[in-house]
Amino acid sequence: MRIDEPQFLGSRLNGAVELVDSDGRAFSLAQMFGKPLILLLSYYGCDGTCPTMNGELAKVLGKIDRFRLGRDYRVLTVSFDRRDSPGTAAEFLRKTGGLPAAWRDGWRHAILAEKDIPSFVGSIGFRFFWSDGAKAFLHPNVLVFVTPEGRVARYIYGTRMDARTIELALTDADWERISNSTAVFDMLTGACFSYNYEEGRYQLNYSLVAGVGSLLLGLSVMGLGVWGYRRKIGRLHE
Amino acid sequence: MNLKEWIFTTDHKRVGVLYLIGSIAAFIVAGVMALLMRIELSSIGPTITNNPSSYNVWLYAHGAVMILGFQIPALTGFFANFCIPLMIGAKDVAFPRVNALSVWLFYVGVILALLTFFIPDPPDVMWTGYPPYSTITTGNTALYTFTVLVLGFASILGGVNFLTTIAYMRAPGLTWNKLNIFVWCVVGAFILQLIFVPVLGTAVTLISMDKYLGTHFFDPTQGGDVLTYQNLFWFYSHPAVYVIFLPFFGVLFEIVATFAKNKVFNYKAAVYGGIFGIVLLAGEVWVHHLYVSGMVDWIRVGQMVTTLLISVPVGLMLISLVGTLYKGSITFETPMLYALGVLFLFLIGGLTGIPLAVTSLTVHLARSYYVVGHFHYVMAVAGTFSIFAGVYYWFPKMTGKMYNEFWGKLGFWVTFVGTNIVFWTMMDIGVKGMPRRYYDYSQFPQFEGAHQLMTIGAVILGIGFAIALLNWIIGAIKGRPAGNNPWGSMSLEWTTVSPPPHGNWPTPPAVGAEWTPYAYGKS
Amino acid sequence: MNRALKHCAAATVMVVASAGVMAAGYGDARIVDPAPGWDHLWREVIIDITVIGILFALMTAYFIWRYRRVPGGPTVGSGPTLSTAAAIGWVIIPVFVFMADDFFIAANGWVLWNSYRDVPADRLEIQLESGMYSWDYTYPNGAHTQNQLIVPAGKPILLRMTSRDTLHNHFIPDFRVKEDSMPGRVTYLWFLPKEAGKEHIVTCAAYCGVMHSYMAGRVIVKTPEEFKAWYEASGTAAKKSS
Repeated sequence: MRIDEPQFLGSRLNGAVELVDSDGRAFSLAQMFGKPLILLLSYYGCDGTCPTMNGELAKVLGKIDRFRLGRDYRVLTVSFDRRDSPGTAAEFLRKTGGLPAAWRDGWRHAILAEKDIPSFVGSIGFRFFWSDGAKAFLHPNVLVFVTPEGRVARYIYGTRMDARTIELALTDADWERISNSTAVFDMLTGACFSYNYEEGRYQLNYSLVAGVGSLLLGLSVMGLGVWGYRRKIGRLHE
Repeated sequence: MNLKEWIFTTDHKRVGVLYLIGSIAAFIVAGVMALLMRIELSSIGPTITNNPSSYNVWLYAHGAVMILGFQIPALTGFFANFCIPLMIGAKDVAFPRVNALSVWLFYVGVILALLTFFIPDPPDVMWTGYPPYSTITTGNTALYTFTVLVLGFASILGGVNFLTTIAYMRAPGLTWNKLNIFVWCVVGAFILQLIFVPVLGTAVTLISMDKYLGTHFFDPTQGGDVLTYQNLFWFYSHPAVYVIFLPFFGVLFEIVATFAKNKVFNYKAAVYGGIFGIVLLAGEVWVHHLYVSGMVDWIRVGQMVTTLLISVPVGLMLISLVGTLYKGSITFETPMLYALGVLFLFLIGGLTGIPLAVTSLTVHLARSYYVVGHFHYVMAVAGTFSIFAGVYYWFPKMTGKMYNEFWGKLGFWVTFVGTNIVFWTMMDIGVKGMPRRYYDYSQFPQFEGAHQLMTIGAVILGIGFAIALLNWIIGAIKGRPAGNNPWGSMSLEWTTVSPPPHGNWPTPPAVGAEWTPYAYGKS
Repeated sequence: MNRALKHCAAATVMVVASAGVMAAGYGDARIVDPAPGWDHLWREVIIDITVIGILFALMTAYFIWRYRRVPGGPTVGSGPTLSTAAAIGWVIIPVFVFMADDFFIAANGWVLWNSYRDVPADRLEIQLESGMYSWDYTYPNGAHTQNQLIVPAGKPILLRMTSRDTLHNHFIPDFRVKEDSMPGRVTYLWFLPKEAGKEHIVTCAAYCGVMHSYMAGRVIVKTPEEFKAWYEASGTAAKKSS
């Protein structure tokens, strides 16, 4: 159930899509833009992986200190099941343990109008179908990272999540802000890690590390020469 | 004169001459490649080869050999070796045996580069060797890697040697501020080499590891990053432009000062502002090679400013150079003719680089014939002319004999004409959209006439260079004796006999307080 | 000089302002077409460098002629020995002149750069996958073309690019635009086709392999009506076949 990534990476989500959250408030997707967004497609009648995904994400986000949910980025859980309503969303939220108060503004659980579901999930390449045998939807377990201007930046798969991967994916999705900010640390992490499509995780950009290492070698050889020269001259003049 | 003595020599002048012979051989081979390409492009469709691969191999060989086998070794190998100990009044370099090792390595590198023509799967990765192509091609990327590594290593040995020599072996009384500008330029060039060559070595090693050992440094599906290579490569290769630029400007300073019989205008500005300005800026401008490579936007814009700022130190050096003519007493022998030619042609080369520094203009100009025309004006015209000027200038010192003045001047004018036909036309069609590295250009039939004109220009250029090369050979064999100081220069290398014996001077010179290499009319 | 200094100040303002522009991203409804902007800036820079070049060349030529050795004239030069103040002046003044020109050019370059990177909101977004040796375009409705980019006149076109093998570079000389495509990263470029009925060459500008020079295609500009008819027909065809 993998997404054909090259086809969808970089594509822009339609900000005009109307959603309704678990409190019954209507909002448009564009209101969630402006900061990096983690998009999680679930359905609220689910008793399999969806609660796990939401719970695991909450747990892992709690471990991230560099970025604050709400202040630096947002999370949006969206249902792709046309039978869901704000009520089922609220029920799902209650069942999965709710959210800490500080997160309420940053993380919304929402539903889509039935007519919008196919185009919305289609725009990120997400596919699902109903299995009569399992009495459940079969769908990929994936987090979609969206840039502040609403473009798909990264897909991270799996129910087991790792705080560092999420952090790097947020950095990756955050180029717009980083490009103008003075957060040198974020720029460096962005450059020093690269994404491994095969394994779905971030790893050190080894070629860059090797390059920087060899530059340091060159600089230190040069520095050593200058140091030696100064010492020698000092002695000659004594 | 026996061969064994030359091969195993540790005399810096002979090592220098070996560098010269090797790099001229490389120049001839790479020049023939250029002619083959020009002939191939003289008409749309296949002209002399049906196989685009052959063309790509010529192009690879032309680029790699010209830069790594000709320009850098001729400037930092031949000129530095031959002139520096003489200019600073030393008997030899600090580590003569290391010097011999570096010239052997250089020959190994040249032989590796020439192997391109004798193996069934020659490298076709261009001199830049960008992955992913260099890691999937059927061409021999390893040969490219080894050529670069060997020549790079030779250059590092040279760097250590010369910086030590200049720092410790100057004649008594010869202070830093009395050094020839050329010596300063070589200091700048070798600082850049020592710092940046390791980065290039790493980059080219990693592509061969990716190709042959199955690593994934540049394979995005496995966490590698394609763009990192381009950054590492240009992180060396842009400073490499200054490794070429600085020594050739140094040669020009020597020649202009000697033939204008004048002191260098604002010496300290040229050295501390010009040369060290370039050394400081050299490592901060590499992204202008990646303006359309998909880099993050902010870095492209930031490096537009640093790239434009390069015009400041270059401008200071140019002012000093032109200022040296002011109130001079100028004569026009062949070396001076070449040097003055460079003064005009470098203006074209340097100024046409300004649009290329501007990120947004480069969106159209990058990877076009405009870029090719521009850097050929800088490297192939200004750089090569300076090398030719320098060889003519020190020819009497090297051989003790004089070349033929008439043929020297004729050679200059022929090259001057040819070079402008080729590279001016090249820039013109580049602005109109002709992309570089094309074996064929059927989508641009309107450029066929311009390509034919360039082919004619290239032939003229080739004839001009051939005249100069023959002039040297004939001059070395049967030129008339030149005397010790035919140009009347003040610089130390002219105070010994021509050609200088092993050890250079019977008693090493010491210089007085009033002396500088440019103190004309003082003694 | 005065003009250059004014631009210098303007540049600083623009640096601050364009940070805002970049942050605002793609929301701007006004279409600033970079292609005529390119022609304009190119002309400006060419005039700039031509003037500098001619001044320098004339001065050099004058020196060469004026100070040539003449029979009976001096045989050594008498170049001035600069006082410390003069030496510093000969550094400071040229440095400021060069830097003023640099910043003037950089500021203009930056303005144009922003129009290259800020894509108008009302646009057609087409996905491009390049490969050895073809350009494959996929339209939002699933329509697919190869080496033929069919676009409506008057609508900004955004290409979202990836590559399935080596580096390629989608170069459209007529629209003054190019950008690399490569595996593992997504890059983009945009342009504004204006005249219906015209065709423009697309060609590869990054060395991508043996047949690099044959990797060519065309941008075919249609009227909005013609385009709509074609778009709907090929969209339906694409749906049927999938």
